[in-house]
Amino acid sequence: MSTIYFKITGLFLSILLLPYCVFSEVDTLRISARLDTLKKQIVGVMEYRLPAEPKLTSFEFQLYPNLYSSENSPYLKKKPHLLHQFLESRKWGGMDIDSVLLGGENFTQSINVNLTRASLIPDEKMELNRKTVRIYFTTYIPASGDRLFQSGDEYMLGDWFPSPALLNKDGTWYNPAYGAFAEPVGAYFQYEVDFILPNIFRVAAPVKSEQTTINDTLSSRHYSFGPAHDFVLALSPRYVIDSSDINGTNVRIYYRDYEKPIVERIKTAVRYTLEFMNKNVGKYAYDDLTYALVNATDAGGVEYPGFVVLASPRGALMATRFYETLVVHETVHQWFYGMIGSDQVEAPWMDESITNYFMHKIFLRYWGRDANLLEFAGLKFSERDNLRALTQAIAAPGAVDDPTYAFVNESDYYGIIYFKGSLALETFDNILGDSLSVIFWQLYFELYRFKHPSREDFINLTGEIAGDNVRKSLEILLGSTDAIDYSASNLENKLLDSVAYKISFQIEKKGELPLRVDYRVLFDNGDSLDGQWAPVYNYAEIELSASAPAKSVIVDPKNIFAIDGDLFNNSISFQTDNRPGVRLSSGLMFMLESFLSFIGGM
Amino acid sequence: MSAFWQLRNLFKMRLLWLYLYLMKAILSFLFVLPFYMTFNGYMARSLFSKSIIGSWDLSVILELFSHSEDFIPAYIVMLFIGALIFVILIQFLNGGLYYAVVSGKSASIKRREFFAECGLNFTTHIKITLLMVPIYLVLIPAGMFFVNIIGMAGGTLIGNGAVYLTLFKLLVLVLILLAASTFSDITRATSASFPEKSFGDILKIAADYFRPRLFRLVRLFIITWLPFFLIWLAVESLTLAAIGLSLGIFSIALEFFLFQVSAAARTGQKLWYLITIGSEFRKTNPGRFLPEQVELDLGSK
Repeated sequence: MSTIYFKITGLFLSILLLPYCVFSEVDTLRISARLDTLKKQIVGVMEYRLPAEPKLTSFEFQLYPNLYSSENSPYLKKKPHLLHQFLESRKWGGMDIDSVLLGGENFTQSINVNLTRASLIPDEKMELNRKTVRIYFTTYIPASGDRLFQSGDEYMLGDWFPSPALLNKDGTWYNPAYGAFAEPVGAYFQYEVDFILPNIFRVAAPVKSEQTTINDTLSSRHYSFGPAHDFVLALSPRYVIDSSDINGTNVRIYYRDYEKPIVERIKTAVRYTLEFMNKNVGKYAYDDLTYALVNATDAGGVEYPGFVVLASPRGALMATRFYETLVVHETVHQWFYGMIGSDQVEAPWMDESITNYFMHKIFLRYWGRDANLLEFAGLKFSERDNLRALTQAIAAPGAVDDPTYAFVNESDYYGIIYFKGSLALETFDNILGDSLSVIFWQLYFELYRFKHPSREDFINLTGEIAGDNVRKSLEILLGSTDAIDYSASNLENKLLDSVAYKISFQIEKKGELPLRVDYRVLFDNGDSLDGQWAPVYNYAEIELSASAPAKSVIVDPKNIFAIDGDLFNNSISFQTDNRPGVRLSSGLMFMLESFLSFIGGM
Repeated sequence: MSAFWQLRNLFKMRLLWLYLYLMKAILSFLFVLPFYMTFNGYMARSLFSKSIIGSWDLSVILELFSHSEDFIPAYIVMLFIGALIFVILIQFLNGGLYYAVVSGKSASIKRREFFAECGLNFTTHIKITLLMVPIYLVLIPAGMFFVNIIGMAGGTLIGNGAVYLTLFKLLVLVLILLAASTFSDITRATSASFPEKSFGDILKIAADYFRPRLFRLVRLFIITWLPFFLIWLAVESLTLAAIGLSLGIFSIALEFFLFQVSAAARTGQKLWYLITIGSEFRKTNPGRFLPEQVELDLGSK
């Protein structure tokens, strides 16, 4: 234990020194663009300066809108609902590169474009470092989409400009091929954006703008925002703005008049999330946080740095807290995606699984455990029940740390990454325990703020803080496709003499987690006894003597192993209790009688 | 008021009411048995299932179903077959039932006479069912289309507004289906009055009766349905109170009893409605139930 404390002390000292050694000044990305509402286009130029080091021999950038350019797009192929909308409207999107200037020289003819990946390999002798890159582009805004689309006279403008690929330490570029479930990966920049658009719009952006009127119909807005790895706008002539200070952050919600009934609920969810995340992970980095309600056609919500897109809940009964799960989830992304970047193509769990787990923690903290989604007419449903049910129902055998391209359909992707991943992270966090958990997440935040940590970075930090056994457990939780299940069985009581009983039971485990597991014996006289099983093999028979017979045995009574595949077999009672089965059957019988009345008229 | 007057006849037919309810209850019980036998062993020795005693805890129900991947599809198929058998059985009983309510012999009908009518009109009731199935299949999507147009008008409502709109849409859909269901009832009543007529003639007589009285028939259904609805609401809140008492198996037994009160009330509601419309139908279309004409000797010489 002292070794752990020593390591933690060392890590705290390193945090104190972080401001001096970790953060480097980010480069500036300048964009000047104009929205043409008649042609549904954005025409503009993106400019930035290539870094001084490492030595560069090429330059690469990303053209994300090309994912919406045809039915052959790998992004659309596995999103049948979205593809169907494109095939119906035939209004595809895309991006043209009009010209590329490198240090003032025109290299347009040398550009290679492969869907979203654009590269430029100039003459070997040409010095690229410190050169200014100017890319003139035209973006075609599709009629459907999840990040970039227009709906009537409203616009959702995400990933609408050419974005530099990520620079590796060796001077090569990381420019991923985006499949169906991959989200954009970008480097951190200070964004300086000038955007010209018609005056009729109210514009939702991550920060407030400086506005200049050009003429009666057009105005220009300047945005200064960063460090961030993306920049987004949402436009509508009908936006109403709710602005408030929540936990020291200027929270602005852009909504249409009819969405007013939901605004307070959004603010409550944001308040809880900011409070929890600021306290338990790290301080939100920006002064502003913007929410825009849009008529999304595919995604329920999309996260951007300093900005959250929420699908309009119009027509929704709002009888449950499912909308709050959306708000909390997307807000938590401000930490795991926004401030701590990750490779969303290769390691989607590093933002989605972690985010979903923190959503669970926030629900638990503010809305309770048992019925935090719904409580109605004796019916109880919690966010965790939802997670477990979806994990069991749709998660195919797959590992949490699989890359996005390992998944063949949406249900498997969401089942593994969002649901199973969340339970795996909950298990990991439970293994860490309350005190180490706070230390781990705060340190993870401090070490990797405005960086892109890898899977190994996460695992190494675990080893540093909690030791090799927890590190190995985390690797199993992330990488194993095997079911994890703990069970208790064969509880027996034998009367040894007039005052003593011999109690025996079996504990079994499936999966390879190398950890001790707690068990609890409940006695007839109301006493209980806690023990721990250090598994050498996958099962063990435990015997003990006691003055009263055992009533029940529970393995993992605190449900540390949240990913346990079967919660029924975690406990065994000496005597059977038919009441749960009888009540469930009674309810089912009434349902069947009602059904027969409906179809038979009696 | 005529509907309330017919409550008298409903109580006269209480034995038939009891038998109809028991048939439904016994069939449901038979469907539930395999469920109980499969899952009780799983639940009876686990502490995790205990929360279901005090609430409809979905964590237990979902956990149970997620470990029954093979059982659930097989059970659904079994329910489908069982429901089909029930529908056929009801068509058989409809012969005697409609005879009883249209003839006005509600209380005095003998068992032999009842079942004779069941057999006599069985094929006609099957034909009516086969006719009604496609009508419902057309009306449901057509009704959905119609209510969705209403929905588009209020598509921006959120929360309570959306709840009220949904209830309104549901009401419209129910009224559309209720109109079809009422036509089915009138056709069955016609077949009881005119068993000798061809199926086409039965439909014609039923349609002639139904068209001018559509709203009245629907209103009668709603009048007879409202007391049942109130009973159902009372049962729902009383069951919550019963379980809230935390009296273990006694709470569960009380809840079961209340559920059965609601199920029996639903059977009684339909029977009450049929007695009411049967009586009204007989006044216009007595058919074979027309009292025999007797030539009176008034002493004219």
